[in-house]
Amino acid sequence: MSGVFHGMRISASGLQAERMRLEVSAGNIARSGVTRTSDGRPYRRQVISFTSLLQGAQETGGVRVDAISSDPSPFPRVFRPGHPDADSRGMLELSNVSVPLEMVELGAAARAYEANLVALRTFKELGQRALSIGTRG
Amino acid sequence: MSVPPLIARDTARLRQLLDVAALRQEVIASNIANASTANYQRRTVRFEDMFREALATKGRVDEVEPRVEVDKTPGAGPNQNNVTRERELADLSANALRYELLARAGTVKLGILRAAIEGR
Repeated sequence: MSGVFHGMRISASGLQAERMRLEVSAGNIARSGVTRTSDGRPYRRQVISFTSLLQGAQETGGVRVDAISSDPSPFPRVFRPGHPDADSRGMLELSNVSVPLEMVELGAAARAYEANLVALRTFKELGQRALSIGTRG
Repeated sequence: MSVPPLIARDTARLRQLLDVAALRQEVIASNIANASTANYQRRTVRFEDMFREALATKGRVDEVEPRVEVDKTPGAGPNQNNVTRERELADLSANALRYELLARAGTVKLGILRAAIEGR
């Protein structure tokens, strides 16, 4: 056991990871309408994955972002002749971001962020409580 | 003059219980931080039942050490993660209350000592 500061770092790592998840989701939503990126294809949805900082026999530990990778699912195709990015047959490839899905992800990440915040606050309270043991009143 | 053995023992016991509460707090925070981590399995602290057993069998209560255990119950999601945030937050509040109770007990105990020293 390494005391209250170690615990606070655990919760801080959770906050950091969940904030990253929020940012990735917000980025996906912002780019959901992009039909041509620098490689000529539509924007690919980014997905985040976490890994635990617990190693071996260690009992407590935080979390970190493992990777941010591209979602390999196919781009949906719609018939939109006249669109500047449509092919010769008028078919247009759209980004594979699903906005409703990202909204759910945003909500989940926000709740997870709050849960870590509550844990962090509790560490602070316990620390203060420990300092006040034996003081009068 | 030494501290009366009863007070010394009680203080050690309080310390032991406060340490367990602090460890449990840390374990719960780990669970919450890893609630979105694939394949993470929640940890729990085992102490009370071993403590009770040591008390009942008049064993060495001071030597009972809290143990961190991995909860193997399968999670509801697609991966092995079995953390439920609601449960962890409830445990967190309960543990903080227990810590508060112990801290208060410590304050009362020290208050009695102080009263004795000051001769009031």
